[in-house]
Formats: sequence, structure tokens, C-alpha cells
Amino acid sequence: MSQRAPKTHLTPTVVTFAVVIAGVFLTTSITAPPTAPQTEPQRSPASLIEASRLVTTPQPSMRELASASNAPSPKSPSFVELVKRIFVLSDRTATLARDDEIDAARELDNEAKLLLERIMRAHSDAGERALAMVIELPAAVPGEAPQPGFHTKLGVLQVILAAELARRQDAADKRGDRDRVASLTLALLDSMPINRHTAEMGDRVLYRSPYLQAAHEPMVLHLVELAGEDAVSPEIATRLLSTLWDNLKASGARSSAKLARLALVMLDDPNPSQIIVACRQLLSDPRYRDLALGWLLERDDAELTRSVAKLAGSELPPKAAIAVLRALSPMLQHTRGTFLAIGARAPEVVADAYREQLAAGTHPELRRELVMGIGMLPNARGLTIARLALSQDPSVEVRIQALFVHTFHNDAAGAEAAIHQVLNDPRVASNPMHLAAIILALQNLEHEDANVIARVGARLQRMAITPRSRARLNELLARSIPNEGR
Amino acid sequence: MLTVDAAAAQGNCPKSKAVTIPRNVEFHGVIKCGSVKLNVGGATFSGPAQGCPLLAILVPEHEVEAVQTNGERTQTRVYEQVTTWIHHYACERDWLLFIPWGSSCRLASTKAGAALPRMTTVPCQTVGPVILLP
Repeated sequence: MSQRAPKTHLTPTVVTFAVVIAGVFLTTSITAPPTAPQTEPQRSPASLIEASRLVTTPQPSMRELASASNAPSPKSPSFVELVKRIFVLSDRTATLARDDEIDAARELDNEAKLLLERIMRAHSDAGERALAMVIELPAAVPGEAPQPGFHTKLGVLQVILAAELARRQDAADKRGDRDRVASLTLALLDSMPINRHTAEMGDRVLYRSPYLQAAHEPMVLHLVELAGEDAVSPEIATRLLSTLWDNLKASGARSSAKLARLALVMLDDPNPSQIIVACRQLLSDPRYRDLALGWLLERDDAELTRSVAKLAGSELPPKAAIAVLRALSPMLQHTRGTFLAIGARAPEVVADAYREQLAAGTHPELRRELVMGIGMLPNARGLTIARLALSQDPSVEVRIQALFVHTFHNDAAGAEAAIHQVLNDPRVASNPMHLAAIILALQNLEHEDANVIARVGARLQRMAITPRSRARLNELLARSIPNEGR
Repeated sequence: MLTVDAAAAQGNCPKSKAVTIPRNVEFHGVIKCGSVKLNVGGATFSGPAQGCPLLAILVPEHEVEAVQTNGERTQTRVYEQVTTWIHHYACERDWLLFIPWGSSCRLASTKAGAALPRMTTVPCQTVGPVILLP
């Protein structure tokens, strides 16, 4: 497929028209005349209004919905009518699921699934038709609640688009012909600048997917350019550019060396999305990692560094991610939870990093972040490091963070022991701000053992806490021990 | 009550200031909620996999210490601690094929994750104590 020149911002009508001619077969838009292969009546505004009443009439029973979906009809319903039936089914399913009527929800969901499969079998251009419906949805007005069923419709249309792309990718893998998957992908990219939900649809369907390839590079770069003008979300533009580069590397269309050279050039670009993707590429390559780190530290841009650190934490191999975050830590001093994403993927790597840092006896702020990075996750591995920190870390701030870990895991007995251990340190007992932090940690035990709160609270009340801390402690005690109060 | 550090009174003024960091929410990690299989024309495809953030960190407005750049002899003083909240998420339902946007995740827990300081910038006093109201 030849590369297309990027467009400027397009109106919905123009893009809708572009979408419906992008497929291999000419398709029917909801306003254009019908063409092969499906025989459909020409859709007048009156018929569109009639079809839309499916979603505004009183809710039919489950039995009615199921029989309407599958009973033979003298006149085959159109694509739009069938999709609107799924809207209704999906809406009812969500309501039933919310009301914990799980069996009924599963039954309706299965009906919707069968209806979707029927739609996909009957329409080889389901993707283009679904995208047209996405584009025609009225954009949500900022500050106003969206129209009823808006999010349900987007959820349904996302499934259709994703299924269509998967189907076409499967065909491309088997037959080597990428035209259909490439054209639908391009149509999605074209629609993204229209409004927030078209941009998000493209992001949801294309991010970390194999569909973006070299042919789409001009349009992806155009989206990046629009992001620089705030016409598209910069996060979405960054994600798509990252996905494109990953796919180019995976397909062999562009070597790592070539991408690295391109990344080096992009470091000078003023567009933040390009810079972030460039840093991501260079940091992932051990040959260029130190260069990228040096460039970031010299640039001294806290927001950029935070964005890159977040990417590194979630995407680089764990040990490489730790090394990058360690190097960037002087610029991340006010960012909390830096190591949490790595802790979720590889808790032992974070634990080892803490042990190494403890042995080195340096960078207490980094040690505190490492304790947080492994301790504040919903598994108990962090407690081991918290106990180590409580017993051996010389920094009061690190030991208080370890105390937070104990309270975080609802380990009331362990938390009480930890609190008393920390309070026994004269540096803590004499410092109202350290005591204030301990009272904040106590909030996590509010619904746990009331006796622990009472004992610890009583000790804290006898100490040199500020009036504000005292008021906070008294409120906590009143909530935890309602009959005894203070 | 808080008093000015004795070190400052002895001439060891750190020449620092408090810089306010605005409130911020950061999302970290991803939980994959699974996807539902579809059968189309004899081929099986997976519906789009839903995902939820592993957690969100609500960092309140707070201060960090930075170098004083206007030449004044100042230092920072911590007057309060504020809570960093951690919200953990879980997949709402991973057996549903069609999930309305914004409905795939539920808040599983909210916990206090750390303490952050509120600071103010105060002059380095050389004569007598200065009592600061909390």
C-alpha cells in the first residue's frame, strides 16, 4: 500500500466518506447509497430515526431480546440495526452484572456474542461500518454527562473493530496480503483527530497491536505533530509512535541501529512525544543508555524525566529499569512510587536493589522509594524488606516508610510492634513531624484491631505532637473506638 | 510549637527555600483482565483484552527543598505532614465481552502510602529563637 500524505484536521463527514471507501469492497455508509455485496435499503433520515428508537423504547425482556436476535425475519436487519441490538443487550447485561444477577448477565452476554459472530460472518467490511458509527457518535461535551448508553456503544464498537482487525491480520498472515488490514488501520488513524472518543478508540485498538506498519508512519507522525499543537492527546501520540517503532523493529523493516540513529536526531525535536519515544528507544539499547541518561540529566526537564522514568519502569527489563531510575533519581526527588511498576513485575529485583543500597549506606531517599516500590503492592513480599529496613536502616525516614508498609498490609500486630520500635528512637520521639507521619500511617489500621489503635494512640497522645496531629489522632480514635472515644 | 534550628543561629544557614509541588495523580502498572474468544468463519479470535491500572498514587500538594536563588539567607521549615494515597484496582468482570468504557475496573482498596512534608521558607535567624505556630 502506498504511503499517503498526512491530512490536516478533518470534519467527520469527510473522514466518514474516506473510511467507507478505504475497504477493498465499496461499503455502505449510513448516509451513502447502498452498493454490493450486501443488499440494503437506502437509509433515509426517517429510517435512521426509526432504527435509533431501538435504544430509546422501554427495555424488552430477556426472552424477547433473545428471540428477536435469532428468529428468522422476512427482511434482514441491516448492520446498523444489528449493532444497535447489541447496544441494547450490552446495556442490559451491564445492569444485570451490576445488580449481581450473574447468570442472567452471562446469558445475555452470550446472546450478544452470538449476534456479533453473525454480524462478522455477514459483513466482511464490519470494521469500516463500525468505524463510521464511532465517527457519527456525537462528541461528549466537556463538563456535561455523556448521552445515555454512550460508553456502552463505544465498548461494543471497540469489540467489532478489534475483531475485524484480528480477522484481517489472520488473513494477512496466511495469504500475505496486508491491504485490508492496512486500509482499516489507516482509516482508524485518519479518524483520530476528530474528537476525544475517536482518538481514544484508535488508541485502544492500535496501541501494542501489530497493525501499525511502515505505510502508516506519515499518519502517525502527523498525529504526533497534532499532539504538539494539543489537538490530540500527547500520551496517545506517544503510545502510537512507540507501537509503530516496536512493529518496525519486529518486522525487520527497520533495524535497532537505524532506529537508534533516528532517535538521536529526534532528541533535538521540540515535540515531547518524539523526544519521549526517542529516549525510550535509546534507553532500551545498552549501547546508548548512558548517552540518553546523560542527555536527560543535562536537559534538566523534570516533567520529561518523570514521563521517561514512568516508561522505563513499566517497559524496560527490570534490572535495566532499576539502573535507569537510580541514575535519574536526583531529578525524581518529588515523584513517589517510582519503583512500584518494577516492583509489580519483579519484586525480587527491587528487593535486591534495596539490599545493595542499604549495604552501600548511601541515598536514603532512594532507599525509601525502593521500600515503597516493593512494600505498597498487594502481596506480602514487601514485609520482608520492611522488617529488614526497620531493624537495620539508619535513616528515620526509611524506617517510617517501612512502618507504612506494615500498616498497608493490615498486619496489625506487626504494625504495632513496628510503631513502638520506631517510637523508641529518641530522634523520632522528639520530632513532631516524625510523629505526624506515624499518625498518618495509623489511618491504614482504622478498620483493623481497635485495641492496637487504642494502645498506640494512647502512647502518641502522651508525646510532643502538634495540635493538628492531636486533632487528627483524636478523630481517628473516635472512628476506630466509637464507644470509648479519646 | 516549632523553633528555628540552632544550627542556623550559629551561622550554618543552608540557604534553601521551599518549592511547592502541585497535587498530582500517577498511574503505574497494568493488570490484564483477560479477553473473550470469538468464532468468526471457523477461526477463533480474542476480543480486545481489557486492562486496568495496577494502582494510582494521589500525591497531594507538598513542598520540596531547593537552593535559594535570590541571595537571601533562608531555610525550610516543615510544619505539617500530608498523606500520599495509593488506590489499587482490580478487574471488574473479565467474562463480559462488551464492557462499557470506564467500567472494566473497580477500586479494590485505598491506603495511605507515605507521608510528604508541607514546608515554608523562613529566614535563618542569628539572634534569639523564633517560635513558629503550627
